Amino acid sequence: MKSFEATDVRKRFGGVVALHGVDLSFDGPMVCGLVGANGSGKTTFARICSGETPPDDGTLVVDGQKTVIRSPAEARRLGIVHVHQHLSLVPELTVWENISLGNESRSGGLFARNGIARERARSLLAELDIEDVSPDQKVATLSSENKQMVEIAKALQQDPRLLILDEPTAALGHFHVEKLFKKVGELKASGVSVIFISHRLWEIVRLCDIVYAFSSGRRTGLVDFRTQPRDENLIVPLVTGAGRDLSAEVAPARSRAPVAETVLELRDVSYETKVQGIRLKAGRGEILGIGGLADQGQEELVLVISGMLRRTHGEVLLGGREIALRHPNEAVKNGIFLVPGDRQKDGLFMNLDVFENVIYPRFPLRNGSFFLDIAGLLRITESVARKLEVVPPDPKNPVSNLSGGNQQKVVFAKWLQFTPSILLLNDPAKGIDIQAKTALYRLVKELAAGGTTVVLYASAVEELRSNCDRVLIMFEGRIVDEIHGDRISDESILKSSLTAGVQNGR
Amino acid sequence: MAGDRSRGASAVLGRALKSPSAMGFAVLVVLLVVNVILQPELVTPDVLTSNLMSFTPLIFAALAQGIIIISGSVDMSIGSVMAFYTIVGAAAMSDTNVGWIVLLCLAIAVAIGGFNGLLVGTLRLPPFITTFATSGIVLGTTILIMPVPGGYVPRFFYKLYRSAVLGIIPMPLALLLVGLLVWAVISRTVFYRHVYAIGGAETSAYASGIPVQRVRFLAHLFAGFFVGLGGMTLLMLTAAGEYRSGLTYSLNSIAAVVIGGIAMSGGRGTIWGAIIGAFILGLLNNILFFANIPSFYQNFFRGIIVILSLCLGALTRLRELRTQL
Repeated sequence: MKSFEATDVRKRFGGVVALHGVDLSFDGPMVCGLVGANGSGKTTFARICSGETPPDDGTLVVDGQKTVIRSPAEARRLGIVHVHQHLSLVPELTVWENISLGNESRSGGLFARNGIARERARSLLAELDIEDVSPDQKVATLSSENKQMVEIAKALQQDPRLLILDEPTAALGHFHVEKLFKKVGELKASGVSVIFISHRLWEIVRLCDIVYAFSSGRRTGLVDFRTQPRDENLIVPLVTGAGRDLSAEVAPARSRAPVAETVLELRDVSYETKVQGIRLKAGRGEILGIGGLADQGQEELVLVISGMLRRTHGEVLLGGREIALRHPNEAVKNGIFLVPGDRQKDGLFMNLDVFENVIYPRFPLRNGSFFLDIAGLLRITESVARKLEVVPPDPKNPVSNLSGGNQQKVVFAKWLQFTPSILLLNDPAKGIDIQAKTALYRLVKELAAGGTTVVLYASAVEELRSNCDRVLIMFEGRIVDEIHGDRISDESILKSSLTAGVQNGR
Repeated sequence: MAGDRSRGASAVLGRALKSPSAMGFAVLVVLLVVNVILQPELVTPDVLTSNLMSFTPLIFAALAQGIIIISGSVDMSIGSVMAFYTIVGAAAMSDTNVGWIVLLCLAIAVAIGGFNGLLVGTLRLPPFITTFATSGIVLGTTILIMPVPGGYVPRFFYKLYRSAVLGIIPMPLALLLVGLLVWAVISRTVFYRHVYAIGGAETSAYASGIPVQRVRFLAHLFAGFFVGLGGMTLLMLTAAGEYRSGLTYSLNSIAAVVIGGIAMSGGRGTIWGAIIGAFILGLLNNILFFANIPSFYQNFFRGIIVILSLCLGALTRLRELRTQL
């Protein structure tokens, strides 16, 4: 794509203005980054470009032609293809069927040419250097990392001229990120433009030619790396709008008190093949990190402790007493609370409002009377919402109207009204902006200081480094390393994650 | 599919057990054995043919219901439309115009399918209650045309159903083969893939650029053709216009496809499942008859068997369900 220009793009959802009139343009095949906090409008902007959300106002000019994009199909005809943050794959179809879906090769305008589609899928997977996915596998059987890669292959199948990647790296481990970056470079060389959305500034700095920063539905700045140095510090003030350096706030030093009393203990816990013979102890007030490459059983381990997955072997002890953990209900009753990774699927009732979401955990706990004290509960909800800085702070707002970061705050709010004895965090800050992330971890630390044991799985090394007392590194379902106290650093965690595989013969 | 090339018998068996229709097939085999024990003459060509004659309308109804449910919808009007077919057919037929009437009724069935598709697909009305309402309209019209059984069905027309093509292939089987041939053609289209996609994950399908509303409309339209064939074979079978004969087909077709492993939530299952399910329900009636169980118990036992086979199907998916929760 030679040029792309958006002028005065506006969009509101109900009473919430998502875009206040955004201008954005670039020339020639290049990688254009979009950065901004959650709810800053960058995803809405991307969805408008790919025809998934109709704009209220504004013009798009593609290669000098003024265009109106009313549907994804129309965007496709212009060569604009969107790779989704929330996956657009059909789980019951195979990988190759998904890759060709919506863009099937036809004979006679009607019949699917399956042989061609399958071969194309195979070659695309090879181009992306993914060896462990067969075109004939059902998508439902893939890991989330491979689903994301299949999603990218699906976009490439349409020979895009403008590829929109919306946080593609959130679900990807280190190796797959490299594969993706290599492919993006090749695409640019062959004349394809890329819009790249990410929260990870170092990725933006490395990959993009030009970066637009968004804040509260406005375009707040532009950094052109062709003339300016590739420096994260140029971007940060544009995103926060304040010019203050947030990195100090993200990682305040944690006073690492020696752990006395063991609260949670796992003995040889396994879950099918994903988790194998895990032994661990976590003390009162400890923040225990689980790290490693993506999809090494960390999420399954967290889900087993939460009762969401039923362990196939081993014992879980709480305060020295074995608990059965056949059902999430038993975990909740024992004060074990989970903040799930996929908040839309596992964490929230998307159709209900903030208040209703927050009061639900009261029901399994059965510590209320027969009739609900609505006024009292409303007060609790309001105070928790205020404490967590949920925007807007209206308890009667449906959670589907909130941005990703604010949705995750509501998930926290569900548990904050109680005093958790164990808080399980399953990649809680995935796709959350830097301020929301800071607020969440400040809360986690407050809870830990109050005696809660925290088990944190995070895909971002920085979150583990700045928040944990101890980090366990997992590889292929086993704990392969343990990093304590002062030894915890980005380098030590990354190195251990990467070398774990080598030691195990990979 | 090329990837399904045999990797040893055990792999094939494993795959077959994992297929959503596996339990339905197992139930079918069991019922077949029971049926042969109770009625040894079942395996003679004459009895097989007469059974096939009575099963065929439900098989067509199940094919129609199958594609609709896979597309993420449901059709409660199938029975009424089949009844409508028999009534209009019996009311309008004479010895000279049979061909025209058959085609006209088929066209009406397709048109009603299209009407449902317009409401459910294009306008996105909730399918269950919308098609239930359509069913009421169609049934009301049917009763208006012919409130009591009657009409005239030419002898050669219903004799045709009891004849054999080329002297060896029984007519119901021939009709089914024609239906399957049409299906085989459709199943090779892009449309058919899109039906699975919109039923399995509608928003994903939309984001992939699939015209969700049009595909669901077409699914209902296409199903209308099979409902028409169901009505036609029902008319040939009963040789009279009677609206009551059609009514059971709405729910029985749903029962058949679900027994056959097609998920009510859409996107999952095969037409072979629908056919297996229809055979199961047919054999069940046979068995109840030959086991001398009074007819008023038949609904009772059918209910029991339907739930049993659903439980069997649920067992195979139990592991999957647990990981989903």
